[in-house]
Amino acid sequence: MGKQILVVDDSAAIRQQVGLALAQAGFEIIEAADGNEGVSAVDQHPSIAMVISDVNMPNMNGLEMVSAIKKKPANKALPILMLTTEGQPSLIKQAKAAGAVGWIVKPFNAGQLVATVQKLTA
Amino acid sequence: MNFFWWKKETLSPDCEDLQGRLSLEAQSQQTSNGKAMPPSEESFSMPSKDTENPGKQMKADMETIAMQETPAAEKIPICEDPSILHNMLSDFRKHVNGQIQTAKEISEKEILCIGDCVNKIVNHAREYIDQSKNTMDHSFSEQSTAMEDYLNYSRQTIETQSNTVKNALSLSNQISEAGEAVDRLAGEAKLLALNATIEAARLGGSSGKAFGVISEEMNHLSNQIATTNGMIGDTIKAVQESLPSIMKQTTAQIEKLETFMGVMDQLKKNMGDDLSTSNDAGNTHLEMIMSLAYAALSHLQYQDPMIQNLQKIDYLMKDLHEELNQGLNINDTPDQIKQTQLGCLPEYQHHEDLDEGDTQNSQNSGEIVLF
Repeated sequence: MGKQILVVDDSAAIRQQVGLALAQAGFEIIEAADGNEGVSAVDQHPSIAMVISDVNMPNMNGLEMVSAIKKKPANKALPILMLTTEGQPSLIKQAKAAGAVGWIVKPFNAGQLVATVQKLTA
Repeated sequence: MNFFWWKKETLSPDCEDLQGRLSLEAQSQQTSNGKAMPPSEESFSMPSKDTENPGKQMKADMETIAMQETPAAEKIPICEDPSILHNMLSDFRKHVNGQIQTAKEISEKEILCIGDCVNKIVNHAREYIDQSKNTMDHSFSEQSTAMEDYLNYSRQTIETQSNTVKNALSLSNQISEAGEAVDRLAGEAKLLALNATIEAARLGGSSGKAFGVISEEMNHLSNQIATTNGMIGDTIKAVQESLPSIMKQTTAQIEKLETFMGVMDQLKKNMGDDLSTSNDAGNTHLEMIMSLAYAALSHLQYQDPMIQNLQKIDYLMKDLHEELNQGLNINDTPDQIKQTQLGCLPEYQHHEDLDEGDTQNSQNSGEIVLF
């Protein structure tokens, strides 16, 4: 069984595309459609090795989700990578301050994403 | 965004062109709305033109403008019933959002199907290549084992044959030695027969006659033994002469078998190399298929930014709606305006805390920045 990766995005297509790329590389995928579901998933699956999250999502956005997850001491070391269409420096700064480990602007290169996930979960 | 009303301001002398344009656009707006604007003193009106004397006309225009002491930034309604515009924009927003939502649903459904197909193609390719590798590995392993078993059996058989020949040679030597002993016994028997003949002649009479019979029989027996031993000797000699030839043939067979085993080892190595090359080629093909699948997935991502950009149209329309309502003095609350959007598209949080001017992406698409 591969390492578990949580993919949080309100777009089912993006969840599928990230999931397919990572599943082909041997990772196990858990999906969430917004920040609230993402926080719940992290609580329910302590074995999650990494989170990949969109920023613009209904209910709870990605930056709020990062803050909520990182509030818990158990999640301090959990890498969270932002994957979004946004690329404004202020948002990137906020994500870094909240505890995210990186930022990718969509559309992403699947091969590079897999390599990055492998590196961050090694 | 002052798209639907004009603010009457004191114009500078060089604003005649602007004034004229504003007035013309206001008239155009009346026409497009299908409602006639009531004449109003507060409306802009183009002064009459004196085409023969532009300088004089400009001065007259300036005086006319100076006399219109209208308060700055006063809003001028462009339709009789402001709620019509408000409702039209609400309906338009609902319609556009509905279309965006439909486009999102259809494109997402199709892209999910394409993604599923891409996944199936990769899985099928992986399964096929793995299956081929396993089949070839299994076949190669089976054939190698069968070949090794056969060669070992052949080697053992030839070695057994060689040992049998060696034993036969040894036995024939022993038989030869025994034959020599029998020859000596036959000679002794012949000597005894000769002595018996001499004794028979010396005794004479019935006693001598008896000795004579014994002598004759012993002589006959010794001759038979010698003849038989000679035949055995000849046979053994023939066997001994043939054994080296058999031994030589067996040695040659062993040498040929060893050569064959060497060839088979080389063949096995070549097959192993071919198998490895084939497996490498399979892996290369799989990597290529994976690479193409990843490229396909990358291309499929156009839908998400496209939909998000389409959704931003509603943000603009919402701003427009708010400004319009302000201009038309409609006291919709922001929640009421937002409500137009709800039920069609998800409400995303605006990033209103962005730094001023921080609206451009600082990263290229696909670029990965690790903090």
